[in-house]
Amino acid sequence: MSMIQAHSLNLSFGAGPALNQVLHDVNLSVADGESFGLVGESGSGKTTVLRCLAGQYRHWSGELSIAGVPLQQKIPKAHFRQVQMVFQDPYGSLHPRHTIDTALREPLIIHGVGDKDDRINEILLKVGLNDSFRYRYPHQLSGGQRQRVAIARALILEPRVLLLDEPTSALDVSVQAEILNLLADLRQREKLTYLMVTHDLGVVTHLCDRVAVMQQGRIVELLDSQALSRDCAQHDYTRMLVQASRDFSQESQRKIAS
Amino acid sequence: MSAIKLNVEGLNVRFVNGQKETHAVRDVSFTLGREKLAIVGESGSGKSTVGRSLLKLHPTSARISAKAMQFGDVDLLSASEKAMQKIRGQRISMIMQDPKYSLNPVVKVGDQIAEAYLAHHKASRSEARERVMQMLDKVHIRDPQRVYNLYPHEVSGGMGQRIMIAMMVITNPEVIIADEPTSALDVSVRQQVLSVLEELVGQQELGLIFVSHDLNLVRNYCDRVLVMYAGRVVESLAACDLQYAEHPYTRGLLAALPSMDNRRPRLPVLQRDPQWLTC
Repeated sequence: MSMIQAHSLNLSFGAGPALNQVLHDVNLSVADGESFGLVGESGSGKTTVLRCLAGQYRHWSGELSIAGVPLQQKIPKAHFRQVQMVFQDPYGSLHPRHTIDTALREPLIIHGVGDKDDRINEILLKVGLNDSFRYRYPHQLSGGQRQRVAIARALILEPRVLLLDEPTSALDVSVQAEILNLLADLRQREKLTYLMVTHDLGVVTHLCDRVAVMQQGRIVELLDSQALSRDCAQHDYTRMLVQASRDFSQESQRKIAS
Repeated sequence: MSAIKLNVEGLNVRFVNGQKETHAVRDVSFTLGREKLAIVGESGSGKSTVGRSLLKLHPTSARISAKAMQFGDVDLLSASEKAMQKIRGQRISMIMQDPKYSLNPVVKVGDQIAEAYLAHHKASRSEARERVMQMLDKVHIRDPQRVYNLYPHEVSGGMGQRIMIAMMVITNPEVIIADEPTSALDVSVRQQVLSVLEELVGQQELGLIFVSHDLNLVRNYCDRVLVMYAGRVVESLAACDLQYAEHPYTRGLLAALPSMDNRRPRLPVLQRDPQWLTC
């Protein structure tokens, strides 16, 4: 059964002559427990797809469904217990004047979940932190720790789908490796489905099984990540992306050879 | 490597805040010729601080000391503020990370480039305009006439960064410090910006200091790499030898990169050794 399903998803902003259609007939199907990547350059609409699924944009047309339940324009609260999002910049996505405890408690209050203290402690352990972090403020944490908190906040409602919007692009290489490992472990343990947006082909082939390549609001190619790394991409744009992330290495190999 | 443009020996930077002193850069030495020198390391390793101390862009709380900081015929360490003003922008320029924040939002981009030129050259406005057009053409902006009159919010990230480069190169500097010039850009746009920069370095025989945390990029783009950890240079080597790096920190960083060609179930995580702080 597919966990996330999008069928001819269209979205536009503005009206009249200023109408700007940002998504054109996007079709997606992500299986339960799969990790799916969306790649493309800025402005290609990859984050917009996530925002539609997260319920941040509601004027889309087409069909969206999560776990077989079609999404309406008015979204019931239960939807958000299934789908949560992790944002790009952990410096911007955590409230600077709220402690980690407050940040993690808020979704529990909204959804009326009990055992708040136990759940908070448990989730902190799950993301590799401990309860000593509970009463700290975001500025007392490093970038990697903040992103762990952001992941904890997304996971505390025990969702089945995690929407990841460039979760490591604001982090250092060494910290990126830790977060990617954490995400891989969590997916296995919690049986999560990931939909991840990134422009780093290295990250996407590492974490995702299948990849959709987007350009100007359209999905131009869909392939599994092994095919991507074996240079089996068909579409010119995908090839250009692969080329761009490899180009300099080939040049250097030529340099060494000559 | 040809004539040495910049020679830094035993550079130390401390930030003093009341009783607390942070030793941000410890004993860093390097020389720069006509080449592309990369400084890599994670956030907080002091790589940008090194770049900024060359131009003395630090707040007054910074204490800079060094055995030598020689730039051509000028001793940067003892140079007065007035002398520094002559060097900044004219002989050493700096390209910042994000064009969105470093361009003035209410001034036309062409006028901003012209301002950089006029600050260091005696020239009429129309002469400056002419130079700006040439420069925009040099950084491969197709329609300089149109772009000259745009405001920063009307240009894309890649174009913004090329405008920044035009602004920095118009004064014919000898050294350019690029502080993560492409990390805010897409892969495809990054390529354009880098090749523009490379072209200019070749044409004008510049020295380029390229501050970055992207090891893959640096490995293939630059000639030499300094690896910094906790304010120290732990390793200095030719960029093409980066895969033979010996320091465990460099090796750890390289191993932690997810790669398209080599899929691993888990990425090795950097194990930090307290010894790296002292030796």
